[in-house]
Amino acid sequence: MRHSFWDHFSGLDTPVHRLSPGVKIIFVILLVLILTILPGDYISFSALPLLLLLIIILIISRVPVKHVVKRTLVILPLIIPVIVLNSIFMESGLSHSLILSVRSFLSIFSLVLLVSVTRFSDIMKTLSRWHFPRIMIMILSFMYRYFFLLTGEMEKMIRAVKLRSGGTGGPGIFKIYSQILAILFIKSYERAERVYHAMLMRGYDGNGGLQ
Amino acid sequence: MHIPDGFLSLPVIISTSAVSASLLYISVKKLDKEIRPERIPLMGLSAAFVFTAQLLSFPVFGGTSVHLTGAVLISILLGPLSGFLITTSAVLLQAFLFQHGGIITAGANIMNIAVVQAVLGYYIFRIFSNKFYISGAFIAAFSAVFIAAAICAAELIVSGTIPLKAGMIAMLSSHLFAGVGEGFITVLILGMIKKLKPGLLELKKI
Repeated sequence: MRHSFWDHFSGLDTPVHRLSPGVKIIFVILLVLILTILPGDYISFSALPLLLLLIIILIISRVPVKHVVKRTLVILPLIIPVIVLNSIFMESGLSHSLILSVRSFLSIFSLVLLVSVTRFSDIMKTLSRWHFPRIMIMILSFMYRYFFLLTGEMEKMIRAVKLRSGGTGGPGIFKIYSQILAILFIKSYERAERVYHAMLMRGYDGNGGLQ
Repeated sequence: MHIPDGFLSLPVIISTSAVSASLLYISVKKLDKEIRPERIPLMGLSAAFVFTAQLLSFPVFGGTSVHLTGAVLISILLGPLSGFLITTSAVLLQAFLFQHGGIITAGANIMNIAVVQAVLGYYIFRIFSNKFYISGAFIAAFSAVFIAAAICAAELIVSGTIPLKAGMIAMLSSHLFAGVGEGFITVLILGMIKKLKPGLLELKKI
């Protein structure tokens, strides 16, 4: 089972981590909004100062650069097809896609930074204070807590299948993987029942506050 | 189908967010009134299930792979508004934790995945479900992915991100394949649940 929590470095103690989560969320949303609204010509000369600002925050926060770069690069598989499409079929396609890449690269960078300096539970608490629907907060918190467990269960079943099948692929594997997911859903349902009973025992009253 | 930040123009973001936000408002209001408390852990774990299931790549011929979106599946199991909230949560968590999608574009992604696939897909399924449960599920899952891909392409085209003709063709042809995969996986999972624990197909649909 891998337990690589996604907000891995959010537990550090630096000035950036101590900032109020609300401030950080609003900062990132504003930054991404500016990147979205700014016309292409402005992007080209505001990109560098923005990048510098993010790098300064990154240095103060002491989050490993490698971690942030690795997480930021997930954007590549999405950007490359767009660049290819544009360069072939659009006039001025290359400069157009360059601006697009800068926009999304900086947005992703700031998002990676946000989750690296803010605990997930703090983000949830802030959203709850902003009157984000309670049921959504509940679902998101459950997801965050049980996702790791379910991933572990799924990996265990897949490993068992691979061991017994001798690693053969073929169309049969499609059906087997679907069956694994069906079992995973049944297990999730049964776990939800157990979790609910445990919650009741501890005094859950159907309102489920976040403490 | 997860559009990252920076790929959409402001008018597209505002209009898609308006659609998503109003459906979110309706769903939350209705579910707050109607659901029983034991349903909340079930929705939470179903959301975790969808999130986990999306990570599994199904190997297909020639080294390619497809993965399940699970929006139609979860709507068939729990109902359209529950499915909407679950997939919306999945989209938000993916944007925050995996940087898969964006935060300003979240409204558009919620529209493509939660509104079109979970809600519209569910009603496509309902047209057929009385007579043809399994083939209805296939048609619903396939067409939901396909329609969502078309809408996603339209959003990108209106934003000027991808060229009109080539962009639409590229999106639709790649999602033809993904749609067929989604249909088969959805049907196989439903069939297996029916065999192992048929009661789960009869949960209250909200």
